[in-house]
Amino acid sequence: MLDYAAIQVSMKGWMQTEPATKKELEYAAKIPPGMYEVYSNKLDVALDEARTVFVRTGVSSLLRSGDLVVGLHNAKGDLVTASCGTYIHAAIAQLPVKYIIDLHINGNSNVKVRPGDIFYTNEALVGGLHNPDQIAIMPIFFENELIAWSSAAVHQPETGAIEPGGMPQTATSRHDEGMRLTPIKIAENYEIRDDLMDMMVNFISRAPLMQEIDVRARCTATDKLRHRVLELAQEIGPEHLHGLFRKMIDAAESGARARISSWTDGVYKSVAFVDTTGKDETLLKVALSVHKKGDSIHLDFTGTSPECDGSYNTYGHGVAAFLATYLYPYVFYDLPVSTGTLVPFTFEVPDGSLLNAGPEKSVCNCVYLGRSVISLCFDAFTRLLYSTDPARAVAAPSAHSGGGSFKGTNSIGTKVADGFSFTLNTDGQGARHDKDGMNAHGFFYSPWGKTNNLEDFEEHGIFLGLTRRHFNDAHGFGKYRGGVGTQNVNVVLSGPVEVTSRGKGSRIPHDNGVFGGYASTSLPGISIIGSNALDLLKNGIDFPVSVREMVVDKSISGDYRFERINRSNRTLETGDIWITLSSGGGGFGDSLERDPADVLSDLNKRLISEWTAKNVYHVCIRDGVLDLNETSKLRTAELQSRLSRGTAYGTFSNTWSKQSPPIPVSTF
Amino acid sequence: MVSVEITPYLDINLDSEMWVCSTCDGDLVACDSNYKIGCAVAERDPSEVHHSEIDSDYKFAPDSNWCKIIEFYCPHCGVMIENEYLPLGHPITHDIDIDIDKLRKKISGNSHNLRVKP
Ligand SMILES: [Zn+2]
Repeated sequence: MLDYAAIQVSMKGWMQTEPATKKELEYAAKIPPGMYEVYSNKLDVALDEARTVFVRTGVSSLLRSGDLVVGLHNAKGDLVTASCGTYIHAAIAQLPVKYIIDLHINGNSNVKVRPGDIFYTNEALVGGLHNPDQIAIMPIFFENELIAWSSAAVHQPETGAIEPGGMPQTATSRHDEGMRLTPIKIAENYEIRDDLMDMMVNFISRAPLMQEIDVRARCTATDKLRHRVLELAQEIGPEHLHGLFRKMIDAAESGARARISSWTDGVYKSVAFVDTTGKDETLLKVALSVHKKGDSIHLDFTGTSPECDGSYNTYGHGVAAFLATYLYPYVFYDLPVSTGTLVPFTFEVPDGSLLNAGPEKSVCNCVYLGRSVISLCFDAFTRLLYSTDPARAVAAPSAHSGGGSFKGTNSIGTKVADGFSFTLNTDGQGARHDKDGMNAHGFFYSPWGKTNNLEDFEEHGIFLGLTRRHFNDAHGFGKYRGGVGTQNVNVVLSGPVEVTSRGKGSRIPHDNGVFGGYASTSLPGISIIGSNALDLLKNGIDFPVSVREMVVDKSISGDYRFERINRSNRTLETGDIWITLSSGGGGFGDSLERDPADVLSDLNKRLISEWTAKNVYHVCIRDGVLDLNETSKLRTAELQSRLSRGTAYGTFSNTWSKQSPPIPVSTF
Repeated sequence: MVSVEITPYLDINLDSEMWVCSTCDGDLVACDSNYKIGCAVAERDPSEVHHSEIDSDYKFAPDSNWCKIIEFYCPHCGVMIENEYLPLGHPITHDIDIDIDKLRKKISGNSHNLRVKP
């Protein structure tokens, strides 16, 4: 019988590497000179190849954009190395593999693991973050010995949930989320079973073709990797391969420990706030204390709010996935993507909190909660790293931009369900100690992810794109500013179309700036219902396509609606305008120290407004020309204003502590 | 006297055991407490920093009923050392708490990777 509580306990143990066996250590010691360097590289090349095959055989938007991972695991399930894609599964890819081993190899299940099998799962309790994460897992047998596993995971933009798009904003429990499969054996004897494929397609009936093709893509990727691993086993023998796996996992751990040892011991804290449960407005808190001591780090999330009755919750293992999303690209960029890298980290995540929700809770929007955890990691680790490694100190990337999804039927009668990947994959990066964050750099969950081309998006035949460009004044200001996010304006060509948009932070931002840099701003969810944009286009009449101009100027007629950015499912008709925005990264350092020439450059590139140049940067620009003398006076005056408005900490605390927000922060 | 750079705006002076503003060398507060206690502190409406532009419940700036920007300045020179966006009344975060003994040990070791001012 499926025992949720037992699974959640087991998962904690499965986060760590399995102990090395005597045999493995012997094999590792016997690796001849040069073999580690050559063959660890060959394995990485094999993984990259499998990932490329994966991208080219699938169809859904996140898959095509490269937001995926292919992993190689040893026989015990530990992740040896991976090709990303997204780092999010790098920390947790081993969980469903270990679940299968525990149940079907070590347990008394009547399901056996045999050559040619492929297991398939999207149950977040046993791995993955939420049920859009579908994962194929294939055992690799060499002459009847199980020597390794391959895995391939990617987010599927449709799950058969109560709203299209797999991440329903109105979900309140697991029962609203659609298909949730504990690992099933989708393939036997190297063939995908038609009955189980039909079962899945039946669940995902909003986008059946996409489901079938993408299942096959995942399976193809795992099999491609299996082929390559077997070639290598043939070449050097399975003992050397076992030894190589052990050495790679151990090298990852010792590399991580050496890096951590070089940092300054102490406790570093950050807090973030979440203003939505998905379905309602609320005020939730996520708290992190990073305790760095010697060569290990303890992450304590005590102080985090209780689990909520919406969908902005996550299971406990999600926390490690979010940490990995920060660590690998920024701090461990040169270490293997392996379970070993995360061994020095321990976690305290209160039971029943937002970050360690019970099995009945909805977790389908956990990635938005995860954005807060990631933001906290940037914030706390940047404070930890600056004293020894300033080049790694960076403000958080955009953390509350709204992607979203749509479902409709185009003019030739094809059913389409997909996502708005543009704003999602064009977030701004956080500022660094010596430079601005990169504009529209991508999706921090998936550094390799690319946005789709406008033409690809329009090919669905549902929307016409009006604007895809940088979004001004939304990033975090500072001595170095956050990378600028984007704005995406689309008009419905073929209504009715169901749309939903996700995100958070319309009331309170949380992707902090650092060391006096400001956070990126809050964003509204904007739509223009019954717009005349299509008529204007037909008649060749020009109109502003920048969102800020559009909503101030209102030269497009229609009903302008401003809501929170996460908007639950609704129906748009032909001519309605749907806007998605991303905010940009956090700033770094005092805005008064920003080079006035850079402020002018930002203004000329329309990344900031004159308002911001004047009120935030205190720079004087007249007719496009900098006045440095006047700027210097303005800045000196602002320093004086700070000293006169600033009060002693005690005096401030006395008045501050008496205030309260309209909704109290949710606590245990 | 040995000062160690902890942030772009803060040093820890290991002789006086004080947080020190690295812009003006002014003392803030003992280094075993929250450096924010030694700062001049101001509460600001988010729309003073983020151009809200539209008059709506949901705009291009955080909601000032929900949160404020708390700014921490050096009380001597006015440089902004840090800021936080907090719900009204929420306790200030003690974000950096260095293990001073370990820092001292590290500095006295043969090789270290800290930036030190004599
Ligand atoms: Zn100062």
